Formats: sequence, structure tokens, C-alpha cells
Amino acid sequence: MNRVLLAGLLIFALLAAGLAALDGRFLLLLIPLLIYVGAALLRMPEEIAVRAYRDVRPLAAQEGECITVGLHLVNTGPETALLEVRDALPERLRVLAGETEQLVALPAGAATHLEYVVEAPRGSYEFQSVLVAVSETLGLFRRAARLPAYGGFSIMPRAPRLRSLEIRPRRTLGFAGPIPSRQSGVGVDFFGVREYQPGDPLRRVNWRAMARRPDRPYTTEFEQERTADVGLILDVRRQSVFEMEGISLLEYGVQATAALAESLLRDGHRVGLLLYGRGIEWVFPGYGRVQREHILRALANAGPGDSQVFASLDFFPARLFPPRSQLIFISPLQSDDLGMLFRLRAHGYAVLVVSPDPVAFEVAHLPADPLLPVAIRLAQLERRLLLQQLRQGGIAVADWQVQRSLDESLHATVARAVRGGPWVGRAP
Amino acid sequence: MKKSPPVFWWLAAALGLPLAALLAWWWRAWIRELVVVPLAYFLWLVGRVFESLPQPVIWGALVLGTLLVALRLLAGSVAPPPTARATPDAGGRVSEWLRWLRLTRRGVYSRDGLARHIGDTAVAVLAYRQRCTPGEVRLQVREGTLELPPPLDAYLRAALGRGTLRRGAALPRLWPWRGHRPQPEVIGEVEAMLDYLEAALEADAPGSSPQEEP
Repeated sequence: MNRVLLAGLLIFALLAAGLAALDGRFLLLLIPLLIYVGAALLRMPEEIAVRAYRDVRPLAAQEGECITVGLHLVNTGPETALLEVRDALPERLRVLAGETEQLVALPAGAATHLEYVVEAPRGSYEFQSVLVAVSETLGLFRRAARLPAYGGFSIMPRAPRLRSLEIRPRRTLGFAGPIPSRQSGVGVDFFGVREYQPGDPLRRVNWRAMARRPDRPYTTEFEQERTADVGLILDVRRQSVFEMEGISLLEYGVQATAALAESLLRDGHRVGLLLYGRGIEWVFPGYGRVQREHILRALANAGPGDSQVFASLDFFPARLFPPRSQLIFISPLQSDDLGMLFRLRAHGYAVLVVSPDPVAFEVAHLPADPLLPVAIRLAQLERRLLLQQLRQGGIAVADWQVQRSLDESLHATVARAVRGGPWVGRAP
Repeated sequence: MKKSPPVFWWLAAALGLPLAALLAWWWRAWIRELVVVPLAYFLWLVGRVFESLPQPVIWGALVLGTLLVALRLLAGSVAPPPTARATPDAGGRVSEWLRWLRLTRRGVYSRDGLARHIGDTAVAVLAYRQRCTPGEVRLQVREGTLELPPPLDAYLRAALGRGTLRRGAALPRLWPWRGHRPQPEVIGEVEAMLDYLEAALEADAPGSSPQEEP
């Protein structure tokens, strides 16, 4: 029972008894209680003279890695404070080790330290405050407050390693990379033979051609290989990324996007990212490790979007991407997405769709039902129709069964496209 | 942070309570006359009224109240308090089709609804197969120039609002104890249509034609 309430009830009961019985001795019994309450009031600190600092390390980690959170509290008051500390944790954090609460008597000027280890799913997390309660030594009155103690960290998605992806956009950049540019220059693949020009290195002289036509020398040409602009578009529309048993299909899209970004940046391409569905969340194209960090941080914050404007692809901001560049659309796909994807291809973009299979994802979480096989066939029919329409329109589609490897699905798509003739993901 | 003034509490405790006690001691006769005596009279009056009532009336009221409470509990109509439930999964297309298939247990109206959905899908597949627009396929269905298996034709007509899947006498439908299991012919018809549409898509898949082979 609350001590203040108990003391108040005792005082009231004694007073009432004294009045009812017209006996002053009851009032004499009040005196110790009044002294107790008065002393507690006198000892009560007027303010919480405590400062809090937070130390989070590392500030960014990948899924599955641990974060250490340290909380330092310093008593800046003139007297010893009896502190009850409880850290206010953001949601979805799981404490693996250490304590998030502490009860400590802190002398004036002294400091205490609280440290614990947490694990969290993908996302950005911010600490705002810590709950601190100070009570006087008699334990009757207590003063609590939220002290500011800011800190935060990001959990970035873990990206599976992919092999190099063969992309063939119409427009390449001026830097050396893995894409054949259909121009002679520095490279390793044979491009052609031309007449020897003064200044050509002797090791490039094609001796076989010269043996056939000894009147003039010939030089071997190699094909230049260059980098390209690649735009990654992650579909975060809520109707595309539904949840089953607390697991969202978006997680697979995020994982695929992170893996693609890492692979493409490793190959030297300039990569940008657009999160489509919540608004225009755009990572400007760039190269290298810094860009990888930017993209992973943007993916860490990716969540389902409810924007009515971006519910369909009709308002897709194609101008964000350089003309005739490579676009990779990561989406479970909806039936009305076809129009915009065909328009992008008609405008000269090379479009590749990486589609986590929503049917397989959903079926894995549905309970058994006698009607389920028919429902699955109906849903698969719709999806097959959608994918075939895309392929018929010259758009390469990687139909990714989320239980299988993304790398296998992507390279099976490319292999099928190469086997079927020209690379279908390339621009018209 | 809002600061509570400890001085106020100190004054209240140090001055208020002794002052209240002093005043109460000073006016004890008046308090006795105003509070204690009327309260004692009231309690005495309640006791007299209770004693004046016939005992069978009191016991009868008590037994009646007990019976009412017992009957209320035995009826079991008291709704349990709502428990916290997790938000159900919205699901995707499989859940949507499953819902439509389950609804066919409810009657012909729901079967017509399923037919409309399947008909829309069938129109899209046929339009893709024939390289024409869904509007052109609908026109062919209306004119009857499209050669389709009978169940698919019926479903397509239902999808276009030109027909219904109702069949049989009306009396069995009005029978209140009719079966609530899915009609076997519904599932059979859907499976037959799926066979046809899947074959149509398979035949038209990119890379399936001989000239596209390497």
C-alpha cells in the first residue's frame, strides 16, 4: 500500500476518532505521524538534479548484430540522491544482456553507469529520454521525471552476396566497367580487326591476318567495357507488401534491393534508389562504399506506404533517372503496373523486374483447407499471366520464390533471356 | 518539468491539521449536535424499520434475489469480456480467392460473384492469347463467336452480366436445412476452367513456340 495514503488514512482516522469520542488523547497520537510526514516533506528534493548521457555503439549495424547502449547519470545536486532509473526503450528492441533498470544511492557529484546489449530487426531506432525517480530517505514521497538522453542507431538489412549481373542499357558512362559498350578501346573481349596505324602497340598486331594478307599489317581491337547508371526502385505500396503472421513481404524486397545495390556498386556502376509508395524517397545516384551506406540507411527506414497518390505507378517519377539507363523494379507486382513498365521501356529504359513471389509467400503461411489448392491455382494463373505479359513486352522478370536463392533466380532469368535470343531486359 | 511546491505541503501539515484539530475541539458541542446526534438518530431509525418488517418478507426478498442471480448465471448469456486479439492478416490474392470459393457455400448469388471474378481473369487470359483487348474478347463472348468449353462460356457470360449460374428448382434452395458444404460441381467447373486457361497460357508462353528455340 502507498505509504502516503497509509499515513493520511491513519491521520484522518485518529482525528475522526478524537472528534467522535471527544477525547484529546487521540490527537496526541497524531503527533508522531505528523512529525514523520513533516520530516519527509522537508527532506524531499525540490528538483531532480541529475544529468543523463547516452552512449550507443555502433551507430549502424546489420541485422543480427548487437548494439551496446550505455547510460551515464551524474548527480549534480548538493546531496545524496536515491535514484530509481528505468530506461525508456524504443519498441521492438530485445535486450540480450545487462539491465535497463537500476536503484542506486548516488552521492553529490558522483556518477553511475548502466549498460545493456540489444538486438533489433531492420529499422532506425531513437532513444529520447530516461525515466528517473528520486525519493527522500524516509521513502514517503517520490518525484519522477523523464530526463532527456538522446541517442539512436540504425539496423541495416543484411544483403546476400550476388554474382555480377549482366545488364545491357543503351547508355553507358565514361568509366571502365563490366558492360560491353560496342566501341573499340581498352578491354579484354575481341571486337574486330582494322589496319595497323602508326603508334599501335606491336603486341596488338594480328599476325594471323597479316599472314593471310602480307601486303599490310593489321591490329586487333578490343571492346571497351564501361559502367552504367542503374536505378533501383523498391515498391513499398501497402497493397503490394502485405503481411502474413507478422512477416512482411517487404522484407524480401528490401533484402533483394540491398543485394542488388551491393553487387552493382561492386561492379562500378552508378546506383540510385527510389522507394515508391510512401512519397518520393530518393537516394541520389552515386558510386562506391559511401553510396552503399546511403542506400542501406535508406533501406533501413523503408516501410509500407499508404499514399493514395502513389497507390498506382501512374505517377512514377521517371525523370529522376537518366534517359536510357537501366531500371530494376523490385516488386511483387500488381496487375495495373504493366502500363507504366511498358511506357518506361518504350522511353528507352532497360527494365528488369525482380519480383518476390507473393503466392508462394502467402501459401507458406496459410492453414490447410480443402479449397486451398484451387485458390492457389487461381492466384498462380493471374501471376503467370502478368509475368508472361511483361516478358512478351520485352521486360526481363526474375520470378523469385522467396524460399530459394535470389542469385539463382536472377541468373536463371538472364540465362533464359540469353537462350531465347537477344537479352530481353535490354532497351529497344 | 512541473515543480510541486513542498512549502505548501509543509504549511498544510504543520498548520492546517493542528488548526483543524483545535477548531474541532473548540466546537465539539456544536459538531456533536450537528453531526453525531442526527447520525445516531438515523441509524436507530433504520434499525427500527428493519425490526418492524415481517420476517417472511425479508427472507422472501432474499430468496428471490438469489434465484434471479442463479438463473442469470445459468442462462450463460453474459458475454465474456473482449480479449485483445492480434490484427488479422489482410492476405493476398490466394486469401481473396479462398474467400470467394468459401462463399459459394452460401448460395447462387455468391457463385455468381465468383463467376464474375473468374470471368474477368479468363477475359484477360483470352485477350493475351488472341493479342487483342479485353473489350474485344467481351464483344466476341456477347456475340457468341468465341468457341469455348461450356463451363467457361457460362462463367464468361456471368462475368459480363449476361447470364447466371442458377440452375435447378427453386424449392431446394428455399429448403432451410440444405447443405452448407461447397457444391462439388462448382469446384469441378472451376478446375476444368483452370485446366483450359493454364493450357492456353502454357501454349503461349514466350520461348514455347518452335521458332524461338535456339
